[in-house]
Amino acid sequence: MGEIIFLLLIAAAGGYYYYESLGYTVGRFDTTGGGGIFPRAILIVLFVLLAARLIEILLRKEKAPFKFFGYLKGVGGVFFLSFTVFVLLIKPLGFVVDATLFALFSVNYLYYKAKDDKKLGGTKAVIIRTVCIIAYVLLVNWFFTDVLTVNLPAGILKNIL
Amino acid sequence: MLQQVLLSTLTDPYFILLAALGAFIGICFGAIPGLNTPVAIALVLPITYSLNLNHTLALIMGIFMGGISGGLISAILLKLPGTAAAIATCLDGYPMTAKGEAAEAMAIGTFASFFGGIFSAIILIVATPALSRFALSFGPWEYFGAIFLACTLVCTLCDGSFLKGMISTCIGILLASVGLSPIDGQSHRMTLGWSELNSGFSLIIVVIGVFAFTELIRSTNRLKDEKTINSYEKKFFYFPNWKRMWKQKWNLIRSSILGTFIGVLPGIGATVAGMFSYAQAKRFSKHPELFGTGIDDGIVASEAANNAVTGGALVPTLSLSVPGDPSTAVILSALTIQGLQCGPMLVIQHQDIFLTVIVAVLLANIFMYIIQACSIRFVVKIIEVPLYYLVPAVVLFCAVGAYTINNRSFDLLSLLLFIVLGWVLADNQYPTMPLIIGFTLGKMLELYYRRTLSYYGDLGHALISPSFGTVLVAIGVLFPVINMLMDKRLAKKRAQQEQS
Repeated sequence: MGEIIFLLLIAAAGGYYYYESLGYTVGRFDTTGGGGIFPRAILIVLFVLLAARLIEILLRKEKAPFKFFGYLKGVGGVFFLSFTVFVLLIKPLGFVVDATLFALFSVNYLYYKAKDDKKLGGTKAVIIRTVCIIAYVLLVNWFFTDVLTVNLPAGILKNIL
Repeated sequence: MLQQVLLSTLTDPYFILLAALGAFIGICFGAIPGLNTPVAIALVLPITYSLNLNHTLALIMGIFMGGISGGLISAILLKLPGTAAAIATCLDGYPMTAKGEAAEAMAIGTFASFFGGIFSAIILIVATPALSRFALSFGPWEYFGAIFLACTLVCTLCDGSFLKGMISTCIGILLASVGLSPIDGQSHRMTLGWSELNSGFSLIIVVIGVFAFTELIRSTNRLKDEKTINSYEKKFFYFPNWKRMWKQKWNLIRSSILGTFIGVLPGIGATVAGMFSYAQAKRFSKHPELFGTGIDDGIVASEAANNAVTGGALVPTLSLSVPGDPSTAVILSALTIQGLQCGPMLVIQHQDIFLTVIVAVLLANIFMYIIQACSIRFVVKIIEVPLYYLVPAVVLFCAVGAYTINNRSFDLLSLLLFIVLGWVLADNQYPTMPLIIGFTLGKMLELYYRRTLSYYGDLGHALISPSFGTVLVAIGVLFPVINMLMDKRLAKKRAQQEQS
């Protein structure tokens, strides 16, 4: 059932695209059919393939469960969520602060999960890790801003950096 | 003439030094996802103002050769293609690393890259005029046929359902169509009112999201698995095992020929060459079922082809002034800065410059090989870094690399979308490789489709035209059908054998 829902979701998105493409402007001298002709051709192929897959699923006796939310499960799920938070906060916090927080959390969390004794390795180890993480973030920031001349978001450190 | 050029270049220490420096910079930029060859060449452009033409050629060709080859490092060690060209290398490179053969995989990949690069440079000397004519004979219908064939071939090489592969390809092509329509630029397709989507999604965001990050984040679920390097000898210079390489001789030659020819066609590029060649190696192999489990054939096919593209890509760039990809476009601008006018007359009137390019390409390939073969013993150490340090560090660096493409956080948001898409597809046995190939080729497929319509009036006329394009489209349609029938026959035969 899960895969059928997945296929229907793709079909719905494709249907919306198909409907939208019918409204695209076609230039007066355009003999190709405009910007909608190619997506429509591919969408028709996609609809045929989705229908074929649907029939294949319905005819099959054994049905494997469809995994929709595998990316939210386990250690990987937590890491993915922390990365999502990093992406969402990069503009308001700025790269240096945001990346430091992300790296501090993810490294310590993964370290904790990797060790059988479920400990962070003592105060000294945590301090060394923190210093290394901050140094790494500053190095990345220097490489991209000074060497590659990319404007990374400064955020709350706007007046300092 | 050749003697003079050889004498003037090979006795010039700066020429040799700059080729080596270029290869080193290229390898570094190629190995890091998010950074790429055009960025590296663009970065050294200001330096080239102070260099003469020969030195500029040495530096730029070094970066070009090193940049394509460098992608294999992260592809083999981390299943994270440094460049899109190294995607096919991941398929067998990473399983070899998982088996503890990282050093051997790197040595094989490096040698295949070197062979492909040298092969295409020799072809460049011998066949530039003929290859230019070949490229010119391709019209929009032939290009469409070639790209269409590449798309269907990739679906046949994927393990699992062909239908799922085709669905993935279509999704990739449709994702590539998002943004302003090509040719007319009148339609804002699936932009949902967001101006950021007018230029569509970036290829590197899709590759990193669907392929690389998905795998990296999934690896955090296996934190306690320790990766080791079994056959790891501390050597200064890594040659691959010659017996193993000798078995790959036809694969090396076939992949290099394929890569060179694909490189000659503007716009098709190293990604397609790698995948196409991988598909062919699998087809010609006596044991196709082993592809994807970590065998030499896969790495050799991908790396020889994607590096052979470099020589091929220089043919239209130098002889027709038509750059095929961003790398050659930046090379063309660097040469223009030096006052060099590329075009058909370059090969005839400035043969010395043309020969200098070839010497620079050969030298760059040699340095690329030396640098990579010498650094294997240090580079393979990466996989021994604990995942709790490696994954956050790589994710952070790649995310910033992704941000730098357009300097906007919107790209990071779309990266999240592609991670989810890649994860859902991979979790449910939908191959992600065809999606990436569909995305890579989608824009060109559309461009040549519409040009074909413009040229022939409609698709029917193109299909009945007696041209090479029709043959390619016919193969593209028939090949998967024949492949499916053969697979079914094989499965039936196996079932009968098992029963008996």
